[in-house]
Amino acid sequence: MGEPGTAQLHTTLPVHRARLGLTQAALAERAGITRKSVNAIEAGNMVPSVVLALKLAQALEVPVEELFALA
Amino acid sequence: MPTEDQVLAQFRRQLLGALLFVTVLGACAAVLLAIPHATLPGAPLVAAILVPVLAALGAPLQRMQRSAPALVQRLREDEWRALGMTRAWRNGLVVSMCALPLLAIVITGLGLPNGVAVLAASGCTIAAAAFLLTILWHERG
Repeated sequence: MGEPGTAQLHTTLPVHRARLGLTQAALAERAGITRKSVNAIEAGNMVPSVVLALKLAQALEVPVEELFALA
Repeated sequence: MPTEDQVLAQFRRQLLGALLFVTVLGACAAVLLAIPHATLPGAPLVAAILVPVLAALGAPLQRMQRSAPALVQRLREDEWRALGMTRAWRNGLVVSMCALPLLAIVITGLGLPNGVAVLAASGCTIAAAAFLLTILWHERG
């Protein structure tokens, strides 16, 4: 793991989304968030809050630590 | 039933309306304070156009709110949009901090009457415009 200040969030969101055959819009609908948020998280432009991360994990039926990790 | 993109487009239109309103109002205030005897002959016409346009911008969102309250609420609480607000506050503050000293130099150099009031009006307008432009930029496309 790198320095605490330089840690980046790595997400497997696109992989899990593709596994379920969901579009960004469909996942957003399932998780109760917006497509832009999904897009921003996948592109690494936004670090989600704990609540949002848990919502996404629930929508994708995976544990949250499988969805997000520090790179 | 409106879609997410339709509601977001309406939010953007409202922001554009607010930006237009703030800019016009701020510019008029700065001109009237800087030139006390100035008259703005077009002001009633601008107000006559601007006020109904702004009123009309609010109506579609109210309709959307009635037909899809959950969607509108979800978009209002969205984290991506909240991030845009945070950036907008930051940019508004930074712009006002940078603009005020420059405006003070310009206003002092021009020897305008009501210098402090002109500085306040122009500073607020620039900061508000930076705030709104940041949100518009963040939510583009």
